[in-house]
Order: sequence, then C-alpha cells, then structure tokens
Amino acid sequence: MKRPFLKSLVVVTAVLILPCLSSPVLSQEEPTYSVWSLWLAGHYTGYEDFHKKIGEFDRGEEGAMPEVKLSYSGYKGDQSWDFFGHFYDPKRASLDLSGRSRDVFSGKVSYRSSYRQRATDLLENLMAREAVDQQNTPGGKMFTYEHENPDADFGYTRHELKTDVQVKVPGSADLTLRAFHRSILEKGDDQKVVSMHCSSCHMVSKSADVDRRTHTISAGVEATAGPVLLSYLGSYRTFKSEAAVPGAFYDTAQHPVNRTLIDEFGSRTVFNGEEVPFGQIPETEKMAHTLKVKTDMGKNGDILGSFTNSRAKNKSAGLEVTGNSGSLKYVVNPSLKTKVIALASLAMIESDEAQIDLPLWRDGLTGGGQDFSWTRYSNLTRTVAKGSAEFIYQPNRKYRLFLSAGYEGIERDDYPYFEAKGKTTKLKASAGGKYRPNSRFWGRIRYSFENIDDPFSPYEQMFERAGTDVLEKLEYNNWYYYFQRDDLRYGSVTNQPSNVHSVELNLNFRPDQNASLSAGLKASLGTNRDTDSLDFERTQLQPQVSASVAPTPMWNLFGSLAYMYDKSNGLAAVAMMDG
Amino acid sequence: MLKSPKRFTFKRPVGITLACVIGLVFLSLVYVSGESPPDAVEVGDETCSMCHDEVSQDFKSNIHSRLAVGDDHTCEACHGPGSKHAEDGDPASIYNAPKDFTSTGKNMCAGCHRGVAYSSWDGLTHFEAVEGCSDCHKIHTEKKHLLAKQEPQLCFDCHTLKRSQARMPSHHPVIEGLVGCLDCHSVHSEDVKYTVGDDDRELCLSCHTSLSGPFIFEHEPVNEDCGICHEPHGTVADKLLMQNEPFLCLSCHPMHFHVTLVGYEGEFSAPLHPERTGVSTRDGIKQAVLTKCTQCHSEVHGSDLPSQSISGAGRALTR
Repeated sequence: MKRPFLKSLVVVTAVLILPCLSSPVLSQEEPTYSVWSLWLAGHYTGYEDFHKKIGEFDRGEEGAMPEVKLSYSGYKGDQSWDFFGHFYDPKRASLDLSGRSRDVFSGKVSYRSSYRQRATDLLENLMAREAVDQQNTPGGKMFTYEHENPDADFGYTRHELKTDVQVKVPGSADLTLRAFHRSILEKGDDQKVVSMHCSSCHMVSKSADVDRRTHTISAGVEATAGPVLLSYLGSYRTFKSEAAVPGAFYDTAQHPVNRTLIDEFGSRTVFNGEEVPFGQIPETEKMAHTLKVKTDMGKNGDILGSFTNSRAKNKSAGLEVTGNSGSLKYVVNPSLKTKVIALASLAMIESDEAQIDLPLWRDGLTGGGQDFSWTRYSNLTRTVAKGSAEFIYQPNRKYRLFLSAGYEGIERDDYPYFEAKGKTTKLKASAGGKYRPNSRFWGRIRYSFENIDDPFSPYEQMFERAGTDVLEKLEYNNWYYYFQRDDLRYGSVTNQPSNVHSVELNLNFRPDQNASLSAGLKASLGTNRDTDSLDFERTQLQPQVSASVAPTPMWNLFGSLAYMYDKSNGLAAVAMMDG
Repeated sequence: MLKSPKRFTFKRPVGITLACVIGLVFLSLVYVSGESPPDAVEVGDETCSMCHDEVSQDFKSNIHSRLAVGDDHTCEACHGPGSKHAEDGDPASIYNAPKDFTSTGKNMCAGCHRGVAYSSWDGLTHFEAVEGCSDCHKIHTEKKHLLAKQEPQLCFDCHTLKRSQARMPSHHPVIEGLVGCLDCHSVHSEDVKYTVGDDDRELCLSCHTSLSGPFIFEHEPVNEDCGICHEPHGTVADKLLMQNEPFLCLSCHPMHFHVTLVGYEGEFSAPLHPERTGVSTRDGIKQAVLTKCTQCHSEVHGSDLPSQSISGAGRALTR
C-alpha cells in the first residue's frame, strides 16, 4: 500500500470516530453494554502438481498460518459502535468499523484485502508450420512461442477501502448530508502475451506489473419537505495504472523464408523492427450528477423522477463520452386491491469519434500508396428509450396476480456505419400469480416473453462469397483487398436471441418456525431464427429442492439439491469445428 | 479528434410512453382511500413484556429500541395501541405488519425508511416478489441489519439459480465471502453505491475500471452489454465467459483465414530465427489459430494502441 492510501484511511477513520467521541448527548445515566469475541485458530495450505489454475480467489499463503477474528459491539443509550477484524493471512484480511449517534450520525469504514490467482497460459498450442503440398514440403507460415518466465506464478492482491458517512443537519431533521468513498488498489503481476507477425508468427509471454488504482468519491444532500423528497448526488471516479507499460521488440517485417522482400512486408505494418509498448491501460475519469425528486401521494402512491448527467474521459487519448438520461416512475393504487407501476426513461449517450491515421499501404512500391486511414465511429453513441407498465391485482392476502408489458428501443446512431441508425427493439410481456393460503405455504408462478427485433450483431458478416466480379480493384493496382472484400461477405450471425420464453415456479412449505421445504423450477428458451443462414438457441433448465430443519437453537440442518442444464447452440461454430 | 454533430430526436414511442405516464398521474388523483385507527389505547412496553418476555429482551439491544431511548412505547410504535390485545390476548386484536402486508397497500416500514435509499422501493421487482420486509428481516433481533440470514445465503434461498452459478468453476468470489450480493445489487432501490452515472455497463465498470475506456479501438459488444460475452454469476468456461473460446468468438466472427492450412509434420526451425524451433503436426495450424483467440487478440476489451497490420486497419486488438 502506498502512503496516500494509508493517509486516506487514517483521515477518514478520524473523521468518522471524532463525532462519536465528542457527541454532547452522551447520557451519563445510561449504562454501557458491550459484547466481544476473540477467535484464534490456524490453518495449513499446501499444493501439489500444477496449481496455477486452481483457487482463483481462495488460494491462501502456502504453509501454516495463524488466523484471528475479533469482534466488539457496544452501545450506550442511543449511541452504538461495532468493530470486526479478521486476519486470514497476509494477503487476505478484513476490518469493519461502524458507529452511530442517535439518528443524527452514522458512519462506516471497511477494509478488505484478497488475492486473485491468475492462470498461466502455457501457449503450447502455438507451435506449427505450414506444409505447402501433400509431400510435406515445409512452407513459410509458422507459429512459435517463447516464455520469458515459465515458472512465474501470476496474481495480484486487491485492497478495497470504503467509507460511508451520513449526517442529519442539526436543527433540521429533514436535511441529510451524505458522503461515501471507495478506493480499490490492485497490485501484483500478470501474464501478458504479445504477438508479432511477418518473419513468423511469434508469441512472447511476459510478466507485467499490475498496479491499478481506482478512487470514487460521492457527496450529496437529501431534503424532505412534506411529501416531497429531493436529493442530489455528485460522484467522481478516477482510474490510473501506475505500473510501467510493458514493451516488446517486434521483428523486422520480412518474408519468413525469403528475406529479399523486406520492403514488401515492411510496408504492410504500422511498425516493425523496434520496441513498442503494448497492453497500455489509459488513465480515465468520470463525473456524474444525479438529481432525484419524489412526491409521496399518500395512500395513492408516489412519483419518482430522476435526471443524470455524466462525462467519462480517456485522459490518455483525449476521448470523451457524455450521457444524459431521465426517468419517471409512477406507482399508483387505483383501489385498495390494485396497483399500477409505470416506468419511462430516455437516455442519450454520445461518444467521440476518433480519426485513425495509418501509414500508406505499400508506400513507394508498385501499386502502393493506398490510404487505409479511417474514422472510428462508436456504437456507444445511442439513444435508449424504455417504457413499461405493470398491473397488480391482490383481492386478498391469499392471491396476487401480475401482468406487465414493456418496450425498449436502442438506436445506435453510427452502427454499423456512420449515421446508420441501426435499431434494436425489445417488447416484453409477463404474467404471474402468487398463492399464499396461510403462513405455512406459498407458491408462485411467472411466465415471461421477450421479442427482440434486430438484436445486437457484429457488422462483419460471417462468410465470403467466391469470386470477385462485384468488386472494384484498388486504384493503383489490380488487387482486391480489405475494404473491397467486405462486399463479398454474407451470412448475418449473432449470439443474441430474438425470442425468449421463461417460466419460473416456486413452492414453499414451512410447517413451523424451525423447518422448511421448498421446490422450484426455472426454465428459459432463447432462440434466434431470424438470421439469414444461422440459427442460435440457448436453453436453461434448473429444478431444485431444498429442506431446512432447526431442531434446537444450536442446530440447523440444511440440504439443497439443484440441477442445472445450460446449453447454447451456435451452428456456425459447431458445424465448422466438427468439419 | 472530430466530434459528432448532435443527431438526437424525440421519438414517437417515447412521447407515447410519457403521455401515458402523465395520464396515469391525473387518473390517480381520482382515487383516495382511508383507514380507521384501531379502537385501543397504548399500554407501554412493560405490559407487552409480561407475555412476550423473550422478544422484549432481544428487542432491548435492537437498533429500533435503542433509537427510541426514553420512550417506553417502543412496541406500540409499530404495533399500535395494545390495550385490547392485552385484555383478550387475541393476535387479531393488535396490528401485525407481516400479516397486514399487501402489495397494493402502503408498507408500514416505509413510513420511517423513506430516504433516497428507499425512493424506488415501492413498485420495485423485489418489493412485489416478497410478502413484506419480514421475509428478509427479523425485526426484533439484534443481528446485523436485522437479517434473518446473512448474505449470500439469504439471497440464495430465493435466487436458487444464482446459488448454482456461484459454485461454477468460474465465479465472482461470493462463496469465498470477498464479494457480497449487495456489492452489485441494491435490494431497496435501483441505485448501486459507488457506481458513477447510469450507463447500463456501469455496474461492471465501477470495479473493472481499467476496461471502462472509451478506447480508440473498440470492441463493439463491450459498448453494448457485458452480458453478451459474460455471465457474472458463474460459468463453466473460464473468465465468466458464456462459452469457451473459440466458440464464443465464433458465434460472431468467422474463423481465422489461416485455419485451412495443412500443417507440416516434423521438427522445424524458423529460417530467419534458427533459435525458434519446435515440432509441428498436420493439425498444428488449426490448433494454433483455433484454440484461444485471446492469445493474440489479448486486448479484447479495447485498446488505444494500433495493432501491427495496416491491412487490419490497426483494429485487431492485439496490442
């Protein structure tokens, strides 16, 4: 942990604790109640064989390790405080501290550290050379790999510090100030693989430092005036990687066998024969303002409106994304037995375009000088409109019926090409019921259907037609290349369904406070047969049964059996891989 | 960098939706309902504890009781006047919030718990699914947040599919206790603390900030929805992927153009780099380009750096 991180921990802890200690309302007459517990133990962790792929999050320090837990809770009158600390090993520990004074002040500080084991890709599949004929004559295309640190054990420790403070302004019971903060620090190392081609496709595995820092602070105020609740929250987040950007030497581009064509291959690459950075993580920041207004309409329901403005920035590249969104939620009880929930929202996101400048292709060579520079338009630039209404009918405590319908329209202004106005439309409907004849039994069933018109799909088509008769040749040579070949592509493909049916059934039986039995089934079928040549299908099925018995306050026996079936069919992948 | 001109227009469906909402507001003003107070008077906590001594004892250290120090009517603050119940002992003669809960009525707890943290509670999917606050909270205990069980077990009791997914080979460390359901899900409202803005991807990006971009070279599904490739609760495939590579990638992308090459069988060394040696098989090229796409396309979430090939227009996300 770096010093600023510790400093913020100390400052925030002091800010939190001081009001508790200096509270003027500490009643001398009130006794102090407290309870604490100390838990001492030890554990041993050992590994055998290749252990780099196991225990992504629960891999402890190897060897014997003491373990300590300490908890302390106390209260005096209307003030209370709690502490909980757990030391598992040097990479995994947690600490929670919270306090409350009357209904005026409450604060929490929590710290948590954990270790994430990263897998190591051995790259062993990347070793091959082409044969140019059936006589096994070696060709020029080949793959080789190299591990700079084959014995490295990659992973990083994650530290997370959170604080949360709420203060009611003295003398004004309806004005509350809120502030919270979170810092995440990830430090360690990870595997980075860099690939270079021209002169052989060569993959190099390197160890790269991880030092990622995310800080989020939020502050706001909420005020209540009669039935109206008004709140504002401003949030700011920064991200920066303090780790050195890894670099790799990219081979000089040349024909893998016949090195006389250096210029020919060199003119096909943006860079070669030099050390360049890779895996660079940009420094980013994001600011958002959220305003909310809620009007409580008494027995009749309430209306909630919100507006959010946000701006995200990639400081390294100078790119920005701005967003404005508003929503309105209206909950109304037309009668004592019915309720209507209506939602409407509109969001508009605009992402900067980027001009990509590339060297001229085959510059200085015959037929060269082709300009492959292009403008990157973003599919993040979009307008999203949502609307839904749900009707609930509850004639008595035993029955409750639901009926809902919803709409969502996503219009991507620049996808798949500039001003394309590609649009996805979703229509949703759902119906269900709940039956609870008494406090011992209840059951629920719900069916949902979603129709998605033009779900998200990549702009590139799947296959390439034979022949080049529809293409225009490049201006200065007879070749068909890159952009021209896009016109030969056909076969739209996606892994997104166009129709989804879902059913959910739950049955619960609780004969008394100490026993329960439940059974349920969830099933969904998503299909897409709208594409011109390739179908997609996903099936999920999960029956489950569980039982719980607590014969005494000291014993609680719980058993659960769940079966999960999840199958996805993307015929493009399966058919070709089988072939 | 160039900036796009503003191209947003107010669409008809949005207008219709808003018109419907405004119409509902006016309709609601027609209906007003009322409720009579119970015919009883307050008797104080002492009277309650004469019969409910165990509950009363637990309740003394409860946050609700502590916030009402000096008030000896803490039970009746929620249950209402208890004189009639004290006389006849009939459970029906005193207010009992769990038994009174209806989705279409006003929630009693919401009378106090009504700040912005609960602003969208009424009408939230979670609210409509439960039989009242007491489904998750045991009001008289002194447990943390008065929960009947601690998360994730409390959540898993209803969300059984998530319980299964949380035990898949790849999962967020919920079972390990390093991430809680409440870190991503806000139970009482639609707001999740520590997210900035309301972009649909923000829930993921608030922790995975290094992937937030915006990047110069983008991977479009990353802008669209993290759920296109990832199932956050747990998967069989590595890295919470919906399917293993290369199948996931092949559900959108064609296969690599080198895949049809027949492999050389035998030992080889790269002519220009004799130190790079290996053994190739007939299927070697297929294994190389059809095993794991992210071995080469490592910056699959986006990058500011152009990839090596000009003919790929720098957007191959290999760097």
